[in-house]
Amino acid sequence: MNNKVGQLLIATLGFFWCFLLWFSTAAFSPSIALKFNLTTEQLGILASSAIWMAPIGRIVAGWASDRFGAPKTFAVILIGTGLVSIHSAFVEDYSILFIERVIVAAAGVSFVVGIQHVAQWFEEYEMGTAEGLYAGTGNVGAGVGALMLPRIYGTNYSDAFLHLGIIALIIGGFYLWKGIPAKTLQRAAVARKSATFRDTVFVWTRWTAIALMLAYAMSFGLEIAMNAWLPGYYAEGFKEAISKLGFAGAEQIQIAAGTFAAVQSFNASLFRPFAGYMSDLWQRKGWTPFPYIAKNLSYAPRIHWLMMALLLITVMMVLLTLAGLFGLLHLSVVVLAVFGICVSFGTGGTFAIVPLIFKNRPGIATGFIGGVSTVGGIVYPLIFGFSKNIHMGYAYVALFIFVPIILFYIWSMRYEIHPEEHGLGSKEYWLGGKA
Amino acid sequence: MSKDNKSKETKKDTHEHESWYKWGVLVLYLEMATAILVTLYSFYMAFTGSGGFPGKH
Repeated sequence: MNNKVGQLLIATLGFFWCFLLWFSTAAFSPSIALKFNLTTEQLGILASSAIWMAPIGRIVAGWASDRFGAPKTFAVILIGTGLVSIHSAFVEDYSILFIERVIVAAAGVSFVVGIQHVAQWFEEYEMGTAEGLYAGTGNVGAGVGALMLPRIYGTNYSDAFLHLGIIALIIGGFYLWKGIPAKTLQRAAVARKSATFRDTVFVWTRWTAIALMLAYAMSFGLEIAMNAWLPGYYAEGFKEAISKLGFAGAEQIQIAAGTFAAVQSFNASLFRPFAGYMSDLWQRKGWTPFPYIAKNLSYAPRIHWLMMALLLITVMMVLLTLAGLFGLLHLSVVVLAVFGICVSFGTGGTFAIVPLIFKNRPGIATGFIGGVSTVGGIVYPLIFGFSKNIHMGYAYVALFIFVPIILFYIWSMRYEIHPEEHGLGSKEYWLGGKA
Repeated sequence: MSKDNKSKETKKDTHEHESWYKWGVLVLYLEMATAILVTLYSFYMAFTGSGGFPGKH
């Protein structure tokens, strides 16, 4: 376990289990609703609470992984949420259960810790594949939870929460025992020294960090938004078409609508390692097809690959609107499957770049980019929901949010030398003479 | 790709990958194949009115 593959496996295992914990509440929400007689509104709040801790939590976790090292930070998250999960198995009061499950959902912040851990071990030329394998394989924990937990435990969520918590404690202990913060002591020391308030503000004010955060909001933020939005969209927007397929009644239509939504999420997770590999491939081939964006940086092809992903996501959003307006269900779901793949290009492409631009501050940068971007998961469904025509929301978001983000991305990625030094205030202003 | 880019050989990455890399690539291809198969199966079930995503029959 003292080599980089061993560290990648530990990080991936920890992340996988954290994602199981994160989405275990959702997997049992019908059982919880039945036991506590929850209203539809209460059920909605319970579902949305899963991402409440993500923005702030990921920022703090990213900083902590630089300051204390990923193994200690990951162990605290696993053991802390594991203990709360165990206690929640014995709770009889819904208010306490709700609060405890919000705390357990904080396990999702571990994403940024593992990204930092992997970045501290792998070299530039293999970063895309390594980060992609970590994030993509770990993400599968969410899908496995949704599919397997209700099958194994039925409606007995208490046993599930208990067992998930106990295993989290074991993995947390193992992570602490076998995890090593970085490939070299020097690399770990550089990150530790950079975990200051001034370094944090420096990263947050860089144009490149803001552009990558927005790119991640366009991909991962959109992915979690679509997870919440799509079942309702297909049930409402294609009700007649789904009925014609043979699904009768609200429950049956919900199954079909949920299927389309799940396929998007599944593709977005499982294609993510491939997206990282493609970033490595573009880097290896030296492909830089887009004008204006930097071409001579050591990682320039990766920036161009992400640009390609952002364009594809935008095109897919417009196609979703067109398929909806013409009432073409089959076309819509095929576009949705491709859309999930394009989203993975964005998520995998972003984190193939972040550790390279912010080499000395990987945790802080990852926390900012991976944390703030999750706000997209709240904003997009609101825009979709408030659109007069249910199909038009995708086009509105594409044209009025994504196109400006892409233009900002192009503008901020134009620097051929040290792009990370450009932003609000100079590097000297924030950091003095520090590297 | 532009001609200008193709001519910039110095920018190409010439690192030799270690042995783990080919196994990593194999895993990611397996994950992709899984995603494609599950997608096709789910669409078949949905479009024939037989059911939905695995686990939601």
